[in-house]
Amino acid sequence: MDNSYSIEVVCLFCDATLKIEGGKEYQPGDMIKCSGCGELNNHDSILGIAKERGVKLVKDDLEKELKSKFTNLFK
Amino acid sequence: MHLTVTTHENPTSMDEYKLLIHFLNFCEENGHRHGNVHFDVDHKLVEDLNGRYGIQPSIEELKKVADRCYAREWLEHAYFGSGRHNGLKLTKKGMGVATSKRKSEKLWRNRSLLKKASDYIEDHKGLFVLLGSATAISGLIISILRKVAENG
Repeated sequence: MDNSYSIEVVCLFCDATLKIEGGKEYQPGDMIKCSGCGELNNHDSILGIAKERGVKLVKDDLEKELKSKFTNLFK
Repeated sequence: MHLTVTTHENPTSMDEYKLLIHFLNFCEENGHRHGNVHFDVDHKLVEDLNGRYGIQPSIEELKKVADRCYAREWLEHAYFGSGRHNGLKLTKKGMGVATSKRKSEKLWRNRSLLKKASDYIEDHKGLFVLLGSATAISGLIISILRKVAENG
């Protein structure tokens, strides 16, 4: 299994994708302003949620692949 | 320990952020993980919110706030069969919202004097435009009256 995944970081308040302006780099503890709703999102919180979504994505994909492999094995 | 947090929108009314921040503060103050703490929308919650913010929302108002939090996936049910407004706990997203809002409120309160002045002007720009217009009109009226007096 050699897949690559990309996870969009979304605003906690309005679910819009957070866009980084001008290649600005954020550090833990920074606040990121949503261009959609104007709310400030805590850097650590949004990364934590993005990580969780990423893990779920990989898990689901792995489960699907294992299922199809086992089905083919007993055919 | 009670941390008083107010939203700069309206400190006297109940909103989703106050409820989430209350849940988050409660977990932190008592050393509980957010996933292990459940809340019911009842008189006890009203008392706790009154103690923290000095506001006394009705149960019906709190239920509406909890519904909005639930719809936005900020709250979820800890177990089934507890009823719509009982056994509620913070989701990870809800915790993120509470953390973000609490931090942005703190930043807002601790902003510099210059920023405070700038925000005040921004918030009251209508009033400043009105005052400017009133000054311009009175200047115009005074100059007209002066001309009339000179000619008369």
